Amino acid sequence: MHHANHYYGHSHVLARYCGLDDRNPPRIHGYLQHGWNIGDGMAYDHEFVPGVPLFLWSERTRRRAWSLGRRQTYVVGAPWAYLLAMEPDGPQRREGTIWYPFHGWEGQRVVGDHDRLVDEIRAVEPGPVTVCLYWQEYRSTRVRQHYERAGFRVICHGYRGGRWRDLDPDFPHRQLAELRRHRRVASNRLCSAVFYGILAGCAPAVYGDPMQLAGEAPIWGGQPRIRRQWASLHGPQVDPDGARALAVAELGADRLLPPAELRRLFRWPEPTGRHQAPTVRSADEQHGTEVG
Amino acid sequence: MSEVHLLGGEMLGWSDLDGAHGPGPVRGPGLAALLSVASGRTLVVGPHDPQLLDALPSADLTVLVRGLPDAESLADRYADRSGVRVCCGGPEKLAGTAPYDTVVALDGLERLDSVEGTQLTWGEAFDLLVSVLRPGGRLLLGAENPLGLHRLLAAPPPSTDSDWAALGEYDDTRPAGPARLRARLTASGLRIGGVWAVFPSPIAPAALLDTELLADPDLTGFLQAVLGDPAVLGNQAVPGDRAVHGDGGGRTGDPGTGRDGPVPAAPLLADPARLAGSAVRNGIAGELAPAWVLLGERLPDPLTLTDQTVAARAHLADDRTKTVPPAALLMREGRLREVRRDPAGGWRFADGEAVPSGRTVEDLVVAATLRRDLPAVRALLTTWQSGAMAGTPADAVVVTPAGTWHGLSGATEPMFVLRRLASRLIDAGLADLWPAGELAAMLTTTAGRKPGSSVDDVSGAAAGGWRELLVDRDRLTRELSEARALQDWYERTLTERDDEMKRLRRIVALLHGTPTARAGRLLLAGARTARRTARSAVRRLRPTD
Repeated sequence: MHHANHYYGHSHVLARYCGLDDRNPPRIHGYLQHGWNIGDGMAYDHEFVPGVPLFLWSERTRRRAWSLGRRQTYVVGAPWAYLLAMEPDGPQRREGTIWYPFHGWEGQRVVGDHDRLVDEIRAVEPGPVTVCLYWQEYRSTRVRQHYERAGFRVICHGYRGGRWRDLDPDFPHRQLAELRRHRRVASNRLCSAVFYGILAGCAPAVYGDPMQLAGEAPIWGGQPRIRRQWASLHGPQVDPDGARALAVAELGADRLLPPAELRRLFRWPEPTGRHQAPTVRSADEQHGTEVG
Repeated sequence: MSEVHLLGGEMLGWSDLDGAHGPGPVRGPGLAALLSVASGRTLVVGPHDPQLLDALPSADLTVLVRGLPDAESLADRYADRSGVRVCCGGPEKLAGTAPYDTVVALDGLERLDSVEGTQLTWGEAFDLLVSVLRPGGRLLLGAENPLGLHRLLAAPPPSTDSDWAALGEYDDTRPAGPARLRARLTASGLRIGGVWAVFPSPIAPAALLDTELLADPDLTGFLQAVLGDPAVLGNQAVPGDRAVHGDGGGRTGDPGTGRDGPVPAAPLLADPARLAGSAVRNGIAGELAPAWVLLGERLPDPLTLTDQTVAARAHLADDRTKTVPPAALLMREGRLREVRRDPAGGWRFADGEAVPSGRTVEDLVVAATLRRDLPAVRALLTTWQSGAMAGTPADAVVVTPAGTWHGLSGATEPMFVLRRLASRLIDAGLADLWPAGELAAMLTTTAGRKPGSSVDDVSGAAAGGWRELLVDRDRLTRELSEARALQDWYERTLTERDDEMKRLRRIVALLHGTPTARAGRLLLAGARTARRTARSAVRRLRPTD
């Protein structure tokens, strides 16, 4: 229904989970939350039609959305949590840190000192560092060089997708593969990637200059609120058990729906039999397979 | 602006006080008067009207709200009072704070949680508040009744932005009814200092009545008059109603929320004042109250009783001899009246006037009507209408066992109150005990007064609930079918009489005049008859075209 439902291969992941053709996911009849946020779960600049259901990641987000006047709000959990439920963690070796510098979205520009951030990363991270840039910054040789000169490996997970165009169903798979190669996940702002990393078994850290978007107006309290409300996830070293509990709650990994219920909620068809329902494990089981 | 203490879990764009996301804060002068029981270090949790906060001792006052805009406006309001501390966030952050002498939660425990924080059940929130109460300290707690008159007779209220996880009566940790609430407080080590039933809404009560007073059968008439007052549950639509509406706080209630004001916009299933009157008569008004306010005093733990707590307790006990809460707080004609127990027996208003026992004139008239005791009805109506209470509604006049009459509301025109009585008898389904269609005129005549114009005498159901409308519709249907049958009978009778008159007129005409003229008219009449007969014979013989 909304093009953002297809960002980051989300609809593809859920179609596969539902036993449907994940190369051509059906239309989701509602708005699917596509990133972690501290408001009602929806991107503030997206068009919203009243009466269309919101499919949100977590119970806390649902409560918040309700308090903001949203009705027909349903917690389904994050597509990332479904992906992890379908992709068992192998016994690969984890090493170093994957670092996500805060990025803007299309049309936004980040204001901040990348070199100072590089120094902070060097001071904290003991092992090899992979810096993952958003596609915009990755294309900028100038930005990339800040990190390459520091000896960091610089990668990009790909393009999240446009308005039903250039969709990239492999995006989350690349991200999962990278996260599972690293022992730690870090960023200068608490964001979806940090929660994804925690759920994928990385030890999290949030530190360094949080940088600013040009003309950034703090919505719902912005960074100061995030730093206060999720204070335990901030700092170079973070309690992993507490972090995991928070990630499970924020990504709704404890609230995943069975495929039949998800199909019913999205008004998706029943599978024809050509596509087989994937093997699914609970969030606790995933945690148990973590390789340190 | 003074500082807001952020506890965590604050709701940034949220206000309970502005009424945009729900029914607004709990409010009203009755509740403010009840706050006289507060003393010492005081904590207020949940949305309370700032005027209530003004009534509290401000030397050491902590106010906890969940919305940041509310906290900021309160901090601004109390910027010049150093003893007032405004906190913002979820109630779970209170755990472990230094204990308080008084904890005030008049709004109840349902609007404490923040969307960001832990969602506490009623029982968890209650235990939390008790845990921050010093031994000897007082808890003033509001509790809405899911089976209260405000809910029982209304369509289900629409959910508000505040109901993101509202359990309501499905919260099994929530004690149901005043008896279980008392038991829950007692089980948590609190001594019950008072239980007040709250009318007409949990948010803006205009009457707070001690449940003991409410259950006193001697006060049936007084209580019915109190609950039937327009400021409480009375309906303005009844002609000649007694006073101007208020919501207990001197402001206009929001007509969109049944929980908020005495006159909800949506039609009610029945007139709540009538049900309240019946509940008083049957001794269950306390159980049907929209909400209750409980005062609990935390007993000192005997194991940890130190000299200090004994001293503190003695100190508080001294204070309390001055602050025994009133048994009733009533908004009457725009001002607050207090009722206290008379040590000599019975109940008295603060000015010393005794609260009248007995029944209302309306109740007595209804009982006499049901007995078909017309002399008693006549005696009541004439005594009422020839005395000083002639302009006071029959449901607001109490006749004591000693035979004295007490008016409990302001007076208006006698014709208004007679019509009001007629309407209320119709609402009660008693219209068929009187001659159809003219109850007001009948009552007026029986009362020894000259009826007014016929338009004024037309009475109908006026309370506006579906029950009263159905009763009135059935009455009108019956009266209409009776009126149609009567009309048919008139038509038939009239036709018979018209035919008779025509025949007689013809005979009179024939017999009228001189003998010669009479013979001529008879001849002409015979010729006309013969011509008509011939014409019709020709028509019959002629072939058709």
